[in-house]
Amino acid sequence: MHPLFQKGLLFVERRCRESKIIILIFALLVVGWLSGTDREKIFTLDVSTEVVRFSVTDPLLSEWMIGNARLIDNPFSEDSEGVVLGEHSVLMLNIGTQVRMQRHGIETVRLLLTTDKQASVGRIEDADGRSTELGEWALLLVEVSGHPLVFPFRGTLTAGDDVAIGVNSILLSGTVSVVEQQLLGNTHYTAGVEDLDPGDRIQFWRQHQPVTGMPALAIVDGFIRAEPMEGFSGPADALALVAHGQADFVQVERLGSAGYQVRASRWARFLHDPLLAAAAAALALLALLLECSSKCIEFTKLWRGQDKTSIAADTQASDNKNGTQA
Amino acid sequence: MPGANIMDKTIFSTLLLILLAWPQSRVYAQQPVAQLKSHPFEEQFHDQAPVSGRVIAGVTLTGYASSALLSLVLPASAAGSSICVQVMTRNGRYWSKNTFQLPASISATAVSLEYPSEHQKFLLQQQSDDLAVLGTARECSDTDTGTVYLSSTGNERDAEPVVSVFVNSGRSDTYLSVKNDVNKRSPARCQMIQQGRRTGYDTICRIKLSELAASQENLDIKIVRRRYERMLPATEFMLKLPKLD
Repeated sequence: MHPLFQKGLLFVERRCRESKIIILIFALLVVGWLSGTDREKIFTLDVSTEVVRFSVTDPLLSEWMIGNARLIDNPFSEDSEGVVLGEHSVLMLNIGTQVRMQRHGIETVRLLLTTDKQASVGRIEDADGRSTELGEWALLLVEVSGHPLVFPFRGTLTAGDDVAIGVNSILLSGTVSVVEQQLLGNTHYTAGVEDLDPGDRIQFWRQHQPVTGMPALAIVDGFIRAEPMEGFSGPADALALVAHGQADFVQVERLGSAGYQVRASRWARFLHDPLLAAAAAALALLALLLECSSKCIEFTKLWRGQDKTSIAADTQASDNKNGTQA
Repeated sequence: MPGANIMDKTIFSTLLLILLAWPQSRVYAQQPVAQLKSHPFEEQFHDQAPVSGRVIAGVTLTGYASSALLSLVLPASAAGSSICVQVMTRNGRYWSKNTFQLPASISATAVSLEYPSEHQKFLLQQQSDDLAVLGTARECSDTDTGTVYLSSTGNERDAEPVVSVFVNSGRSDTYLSVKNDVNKRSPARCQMIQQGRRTGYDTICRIKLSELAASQENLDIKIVRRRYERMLPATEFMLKLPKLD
């Protein structure tokens, strides 16, 4: 082999090895950054439950038609009948009002309104525009007849109740799923779905609240649908709840375990995020190409070495032959 | 060098002062100890929370200094009697119930409990609202007398003295009223715990000691619960208060 060609081969080989390491490190860093960066996550709760509790943060969403409901406004009253409201009564809730909605099967929907602020929980307006201000505590018994009722809300939510002595209203079934934002564009992908068990208690959480930096309940949007009494008989009917909201995780309290958190798995990004999947594929292809190139160089070297040995052997054989003849 | 000498003396004096002050801040006055009467010591600790509890899970006094892990804050009249002490965590993982024999005379208000628990570390890690202690005037094998003594978990020593009544309300609306309150206040709404597991108890009712009449020795407490349109049977007990400074 020409010495200049041999020198060039060595130079290329050394450069290849260096650049291979640099490219691999760079590609790994890119993939690490893509999979590690924090992204917007939207959790969706879709459950059938006997009890839901939320604290109102946007009263405009919580103006509900509660026609013919019965109102009890004294927590110490022995009277369980209360006052019957007009057919077109509308309930308007105040910010901070805590709503506990309960229903067994197709029974009456119970709306318990309380507040910790020593203020009114809201007011009720009838068809004539007359307004009745409520106190710190109010219970509304709503009979769902003829058509279903839908109660939209925005606030901090707790679905279901943790099982203990005296608890008779629980979450029955459902799922919690999480969709995550793709790196580029305003599109999302499903990063995971978890089935919930009867008796679970669900809360949406933010890892760091903007003001205090402490973990806090996340504000979510949702609605509760109560089917009419006619045509339904199963206990699973109760209340259908769907809620969506940005959160860092969903806390599931479960009897018989320490509970667990539902989070968006980072591994899901490799499967569902096109950019990350493409980056991972490119990295694999790059690794393959580098491996192929290094093997090619090794083969060339080997071939050159064998070639050189065979030439030397041929030369020696011809020399020996010449010597014998002489 | 005279400057260096003065500096050395100052450092030495400061160190001496810290050394003298350190043990005083750590050690409280010697408290009398209530001896464990029931043997063996009965306690349970589960990795998985069991469902348990009664309406009143505990009555504790926060903001009261105590050197022991658990202690009772007692009037002098309780001396020599037996007290049944039930300890429960909010998540229901820890539970114990044992009878203690009080000393024949009580010189201090706080009486430490001889508490040979295998789970001291776990109990020490609990926040004040996560540990309920109920001391009742009886032996644990006897029927309930309805007389309750204050307990202390030694947490939040600098806080304002507050009596906390831990209630297993079954997720009902809970109100506390003091029947012999000289101020005749209306029942106060209790606070339902919203976060975390609530297997042992779910509601805390608080009474600020500063709001009560100084001469009060017994508090007749009534817990009223309402589950939606139905009133649940009221729970009443008498809380024996010590003379607190």
